[in-house]
Amino acid sequence: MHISEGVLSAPVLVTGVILTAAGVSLGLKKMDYEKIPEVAVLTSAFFVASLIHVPIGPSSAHLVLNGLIGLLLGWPAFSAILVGLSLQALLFQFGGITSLGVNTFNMAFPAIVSFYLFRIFNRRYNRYLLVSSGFLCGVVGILGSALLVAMSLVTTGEAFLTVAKLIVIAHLPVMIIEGVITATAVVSLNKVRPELLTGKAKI
Amino acid sequence: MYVFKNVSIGLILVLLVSSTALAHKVNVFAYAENGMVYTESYFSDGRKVIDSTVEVFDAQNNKLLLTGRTDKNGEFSFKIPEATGLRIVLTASMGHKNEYLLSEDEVRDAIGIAKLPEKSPPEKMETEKRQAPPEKATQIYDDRLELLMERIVEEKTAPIMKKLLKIEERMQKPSFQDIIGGLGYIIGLMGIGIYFKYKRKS
Repeated sequence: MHISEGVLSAPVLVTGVILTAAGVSLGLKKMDYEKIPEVAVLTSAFFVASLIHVPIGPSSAHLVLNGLIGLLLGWPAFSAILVGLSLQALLFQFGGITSLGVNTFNMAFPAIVSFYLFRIFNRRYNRYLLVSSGFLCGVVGILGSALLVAMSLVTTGEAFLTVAKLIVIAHLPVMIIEGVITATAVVSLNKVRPELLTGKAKI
Repeated sequence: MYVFKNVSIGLILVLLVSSTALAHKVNVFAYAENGMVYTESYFSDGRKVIDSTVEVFDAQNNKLLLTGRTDKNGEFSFKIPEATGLRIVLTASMGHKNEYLLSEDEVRDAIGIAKLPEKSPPEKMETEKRQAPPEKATQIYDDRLELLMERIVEEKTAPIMKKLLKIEERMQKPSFQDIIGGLGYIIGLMGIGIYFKYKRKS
């Protein structure tokens, strides 16, 4: 998922930076005092998730957890993912500093999408609804990121369908695992802290 | 705070697991030997990078010298095209890219033209002084001896080179300190955020 330094052209990098800057500023605005510790915990989760690689499938891929982060945080997911990716780039040399904008957008935008798609189901109406929406949330996060990465790579001259297929297939096991993780997280949070899911987090 | 306790236990578990399973980044390493350059490529979890493009550039003027593809062991080797520093760029699929710089000294050593001219004059003077066997014969003898020794040394040091590459490769992987350091940064940022968003209740 992390696009390395020197792969993308300048216009793509600049577009990524602009979109990410917009997302982060909106995220910072929506992040109120009570939300900050939650954002920090999920940032930490995102930061270490990239170290867990999934050894199933044709290529090696790792956990991203962007669906879960988006679902719980909403727009502040942009700030969380930007911080997580910066630290990964600086400490692990994953991705690169110049591609930080593009990478953040590629992972944070699907997070926001799953936030708006699945938030409604997170009231305690129905257990099955909750589980399936949690699972889909994890899937959508990875799928969206895979498609956005493919779209970013199109500008380097790779054909969209070929790359998209490659990336999506490589991430199929991750999608399923993230779906399970997100569903489990949503169900257990629903038990112990339902207000985290409905948005009005009070600590 | 119950959730955070849960999550932090989760994080600790993750840290324990992550010491064996490592993630996604591509690495390329190269060494020169006997007029050839050997490259090896791995993803950071140890998987070989198969059938990916390797480009070799002149390190000084960035001229593309040759391109090739990695085989099923993630290896690619080529004859040294020029006696200059080489920049070896690996482009794997899905936006992964990395490079390795092979210094000019290393390349020159591998071709064997580096120190030959410097070494021979003093030896010659010695043979002249002694006035022992005919000069030409010693010259040929010296040259062959030198070649032989070079080959033996190279053969003997090959395992060490491999080991060095492995160590270099390990240094590229995220360490435990990196992970703890990153988490520390996040806690620090949280502190800053709380500081600025905190509104004093009157």
